[in-house]
Amino acid sequence: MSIASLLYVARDALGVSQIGIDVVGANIANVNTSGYSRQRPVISSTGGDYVRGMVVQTSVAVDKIERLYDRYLEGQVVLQRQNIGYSSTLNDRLSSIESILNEAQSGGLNDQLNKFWAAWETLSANPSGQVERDTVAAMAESVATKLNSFSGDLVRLKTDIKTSIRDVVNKINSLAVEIRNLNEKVAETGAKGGETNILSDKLMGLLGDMAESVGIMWNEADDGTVSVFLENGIPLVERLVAYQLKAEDVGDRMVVSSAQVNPDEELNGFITKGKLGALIESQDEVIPDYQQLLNNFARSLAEAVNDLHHQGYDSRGNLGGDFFVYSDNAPAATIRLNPEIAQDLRLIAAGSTVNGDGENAASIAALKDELIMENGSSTLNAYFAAIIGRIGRQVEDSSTDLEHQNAILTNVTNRRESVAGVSIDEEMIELMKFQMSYQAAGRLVNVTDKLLDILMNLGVSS
Amino acid sequence: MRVTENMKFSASMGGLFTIQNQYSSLLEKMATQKKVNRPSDDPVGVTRILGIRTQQAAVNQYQTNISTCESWVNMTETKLNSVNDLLVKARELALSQATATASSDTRKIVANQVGGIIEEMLSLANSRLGDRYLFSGSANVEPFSSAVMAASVGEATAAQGNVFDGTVTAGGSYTGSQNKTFVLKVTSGGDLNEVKYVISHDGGKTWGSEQTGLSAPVDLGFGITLTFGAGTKKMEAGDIFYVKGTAQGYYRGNGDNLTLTVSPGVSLSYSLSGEEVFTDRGNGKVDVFKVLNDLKTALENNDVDGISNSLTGIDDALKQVSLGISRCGTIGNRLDIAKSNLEELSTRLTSSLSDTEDADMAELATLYSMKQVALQACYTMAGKLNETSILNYLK
Repeated sequence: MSIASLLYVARDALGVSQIGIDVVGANIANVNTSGYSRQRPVISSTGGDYVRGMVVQTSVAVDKIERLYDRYLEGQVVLQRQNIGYSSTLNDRLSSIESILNEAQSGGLNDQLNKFWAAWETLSANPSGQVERDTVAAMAESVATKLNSFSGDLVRLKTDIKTSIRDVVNKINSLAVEIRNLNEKVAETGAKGGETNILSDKLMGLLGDMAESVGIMWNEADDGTVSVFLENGIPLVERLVAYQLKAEDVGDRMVVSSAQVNPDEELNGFITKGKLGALIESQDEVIPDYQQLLNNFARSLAEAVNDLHHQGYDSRGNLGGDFFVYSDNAPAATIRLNPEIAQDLRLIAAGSTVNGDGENAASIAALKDELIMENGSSTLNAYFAAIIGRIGRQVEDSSTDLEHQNAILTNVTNRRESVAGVSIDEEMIELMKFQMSYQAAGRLVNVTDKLLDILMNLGVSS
Repeated sequence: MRVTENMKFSASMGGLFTIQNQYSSLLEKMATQKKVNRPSDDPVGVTRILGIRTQQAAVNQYQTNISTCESWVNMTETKLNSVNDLLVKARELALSQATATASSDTRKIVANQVGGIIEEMLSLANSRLGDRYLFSGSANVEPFSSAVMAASVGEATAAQGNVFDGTVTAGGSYTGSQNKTFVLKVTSGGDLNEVKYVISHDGGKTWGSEQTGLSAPVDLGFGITLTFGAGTKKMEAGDIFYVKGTAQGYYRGNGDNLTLTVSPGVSLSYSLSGEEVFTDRGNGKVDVFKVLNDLKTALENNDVDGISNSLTGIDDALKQVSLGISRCGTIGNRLDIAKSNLEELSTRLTSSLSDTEDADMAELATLYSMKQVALQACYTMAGKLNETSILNYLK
């Protein structure tokens, strides 16, 4: 071992320290980068020389820059983002339905309905009164209008959801392409023996975005590339191939299917997580459910009132006709006061005889206490109140779920951060460490220089 | 556990959001004074709130109904009291003229006075409340005429919405003792001879058995017949024809009572029909107008026996009217009971509505200051985040 080689050792030491400082710099720079995993140089001494029978470690090198992360925790974060995507989107849509059906304040359908019954009652006290007849017609119209507007708002909400489904599908498609492109880079870089750390972080970030949009399963190949599948195994990305989903508007709903794999198979039923899962659930289950409830309500109201109205006599002496008219496939959207009655208030059949009494109006008013819903276990008012209670409970449940999922995400993210996140304190200490080793290596150069100086001047008289 | 910068910042931000959320929901509750502002605030509560509001609306309606009934009953009672006074006066007059001291001259004078009483009685019996007659039963027609009407069959009326455009005429002579509306309802249309129909004697509430054929005059019962002449349009199910049979006497109304619902499931007959108060039909025993007119005739004819006889009639009439007055009292009592029950119910509903939806201000205020402290603590903590860093100790 020569003195001159000490210079090489010092050079290596300086280099390693500088790389260390570089890595620290990169970590500090990315302290706020989400999904960034901190890095550390892995330093080792380079072999040894035999010097007079002893092994002397000679120099130092950076083997690789290591990415500190926990594959399990990274996976947990991705999985949890599916749940967050689902819960927050579902909560959002349910809250929209809740604000449509907000009856907690007065002035809603419940109140209109009460006024409608009261109007009949008042008419029964004075069956020939024009004002009373007019009030019955007006209240009937406002009950019908309220039902129409509920129904219209639900349809609008569904249209919005359909648009959102298309948007999310587009996002999933572009994410699939991005993941595929990144896979390509990872494969190339890996093949050339390069570091894929940053690319892997990006890949996990994209997987997270994908999971937030739709429920996925994924696996990572040995070369670091990933393949992504929907919950039922339909591929989105297979290493270097990206697949596309398509969303087709089939009238009142959006149907999602794969563009390449079994394009005729509807996937709506298989997508249960992520934003798309929540949107599909809202479109296919939640909103139809409320539409159905409102339709039942509107149909029962119209049928019950019509039945009695048919039995009564109007002020012309005829039996009553239909009081409400509606189309059978969408009662809530189409219910309205029979336009003939709106034109001619004499057609309101208030009497139970042709003499002009008000008994039939009283019978119709008494419908409010009759158990005509749910196989005779509930009144119309109670049925409607139950609808309101139901949306309230769903929103409450989904809010609780969202809070819970957020808590889990915080927990998982913290655990991930704890392993992979950047701590400024730690980085500053690392910085001091490398700074000191850099200074020491510099001093080594200095000392070597002096040693060489001494050597060069051996035997030279001064 | 390693604690990183991201963890510190996100923890402090998460804390801020949580508390601000709670803070703003508290503010909303304080502003609206309600603890249920949307269904999800209390899904069970909101169902209860809607139920209570429905009950309240019903109670309000019952209360309105009760006051309608009350004014009707009060008015009826006032009028019947006047009727009573008139009858007492008529009785005094009759009594004074039934003695030997009275002469045909005095009887003539008194006959005029009785004529006045009859006119007053007529205007009382035809009293109205709003645009409805107090004593016409369920038919809204002027109930009493000044002169005796012979038993008659009214005009046959085809309901205005009928399809059939042929003729219908009523015939025969009415033999019934009460005023009735006869209704013929077509149940299955076609040519006159194949039409199926049902007949009602009570205005269309209850129906007899189905019969076929209208080409010959139809016997509706009580001597009334309906004769149909074919038109350009055939009869259709739902076509209705009706005709009124009026019995001999002064009364045009019917014997029905008016009813209104005054508490859940309780409908109250609140009117007295002219039939039961002034006539000898149905529930009535004595025809008030006949008694008075008989008295008047007897006075005019100087018929002492007739005058004495009419005294019994007047006594019976007084009994009948008193019965009416006492029925008004009974109805009034029932209304009072219903009213006080409803008031109690209303108070109970109001308080349970308030329990369910109104916010407890004291509690809110306490929570509010607690949250304020927590929020301030959060801000202070966030502000000091940067102080706990190694950077502050490196020179």
